[in-house]
Amino acid sequence: MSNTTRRHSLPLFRSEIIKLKRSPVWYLLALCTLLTATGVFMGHLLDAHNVVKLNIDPWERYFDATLAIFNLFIVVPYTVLLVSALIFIEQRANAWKYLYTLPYRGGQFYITKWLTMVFLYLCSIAILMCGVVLSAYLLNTFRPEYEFNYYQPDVRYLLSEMRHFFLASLGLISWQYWLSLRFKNILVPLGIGVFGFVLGIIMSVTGQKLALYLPYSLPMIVRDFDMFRNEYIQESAIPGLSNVEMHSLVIALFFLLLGYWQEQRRQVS
Amino acid sequence: MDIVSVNNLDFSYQKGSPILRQLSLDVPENSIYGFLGRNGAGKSTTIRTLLGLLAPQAGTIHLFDEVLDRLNRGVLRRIGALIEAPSLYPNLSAKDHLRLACRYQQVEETRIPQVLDQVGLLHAQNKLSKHYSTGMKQRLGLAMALLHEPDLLILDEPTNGLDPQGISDIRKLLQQLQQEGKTILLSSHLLSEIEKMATHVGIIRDGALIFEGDQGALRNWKAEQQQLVVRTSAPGQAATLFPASQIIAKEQDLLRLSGVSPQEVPELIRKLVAAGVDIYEIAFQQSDLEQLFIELNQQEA
Repeated sequence: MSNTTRRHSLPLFRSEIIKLKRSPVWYLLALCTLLTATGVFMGHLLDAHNVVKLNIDPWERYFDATLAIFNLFIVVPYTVLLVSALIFIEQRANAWKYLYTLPYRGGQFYITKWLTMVFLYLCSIAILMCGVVLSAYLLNTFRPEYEFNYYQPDVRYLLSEMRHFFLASLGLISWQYWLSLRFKNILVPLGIGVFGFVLGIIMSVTGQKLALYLPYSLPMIVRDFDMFRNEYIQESAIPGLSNVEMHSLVIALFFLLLGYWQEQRRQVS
Repeated sequence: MDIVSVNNLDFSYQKGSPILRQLSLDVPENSIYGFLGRNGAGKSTTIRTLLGLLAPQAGTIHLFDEVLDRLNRGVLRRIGALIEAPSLYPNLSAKDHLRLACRYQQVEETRIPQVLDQVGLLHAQNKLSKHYSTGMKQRLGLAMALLHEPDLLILDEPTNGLDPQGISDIRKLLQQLQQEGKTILLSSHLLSEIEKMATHVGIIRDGALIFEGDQGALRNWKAEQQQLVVRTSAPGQAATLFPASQIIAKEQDLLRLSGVSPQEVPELIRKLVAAGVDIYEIAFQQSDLEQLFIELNQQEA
């Protein structure tokens, strides 16, 4: 890569952010975090007599409920929709023929858009974390018996759990992104995403070994919240990473490199 | 110096169905090069290869004396392009689009109002592009191409969707840019437009260039092709007075002759009068570019 092209990577990322102005991506992001936080909030509000346990830190339980909802119902459809929405922005504008006449290599656009997706995913995780903590305090005003005010939220625990989700989602982001660029009609990769989501749930629920290799089930099984026990999950050769996270990283890297290689050779007709 | 130099370009999407066949063209510096061809002749494909969107199977492309290939795209920095309908994000305004282009081209945002003014969109800079008319979209596409003050503008059908006033404005703008030293390569199906503003013309047919030259060469060609039309009482009798090679057509009361210069006309009239042929009308019929374009295509066919 020449010095000139390398120098341009940051402006490319800034351009991606400008494109998001008034785009549905922000609604999607808000919806993802709102749905999760509201689901947990409502569950705790309406079912307080079953959930409240005196003298027990409510935060960990609240966080686990949030993460369970997030990993089962939200993370996969959200990722599929987020990737599709970002690709749709370019497809609707028929922007490739403009972008590829600029003095950049096709692979640079590919990597920048991938980074934008990861950035947005991180943003949604950060917003979700804030939303969960705030919703717990709000819940406390309606149900003081939870005693959220008497305990400190263990944000480090929440961060650590989110790190696992993030790593387990990278494979899905890369795969879905690569897939979305292969079809002109965005409904095709979206349909595959929905099918993958259903397949992911089945694989996860039934504890199949195949779930360890399916990008759609990796975020669902990466943490065990008494839902999906998979006997094949174990520590990888890298300390602190499970084989689920390793598989996700390998998938992410593979499709990132494959996409980069293909975009470098892309013909825009 | 040629800003664009294309040599023996071959391109096909499928083996056995060539789109470009040994295409060569040269765009001189500071020219307005009109690139003409019928639909499907290969104009857009040529332009796409020039911009690196398509990789030719054979041949070379030199832009500013640099070879364009996948690994050397830095030269595209000196080019502004608009390919058919501009790529616009419906959720962004004109100003947003130009901010975007400023990031891509590493240009200061102070340039935005200047270029908006240049294309006459200053008043609509905050309007979302989805509310733009086709002509306004075309102007915005042009503004994005002009933003970084490129040395070469490559425009594929830039006047598409514009009303006559809009076309005239764009023509004036392109002529002004040429006077400022820019080189412009534009394709168009509006042949009259090309004739009005191009300094050089290239005509493509079935993926191969069949004519290339400046307006002078074009005029010479047209002069060679001009016909002398004689309306007379006896075209058959009149035809016997001239060599067969000069006679293009003999109609009911018309005789069409080629290769007659204006200086030869008085002698021709004297000859006809001496032979007792009545002359009702005598005039040169010159092909305009459209006629020429059709003739060139017919000749090649």
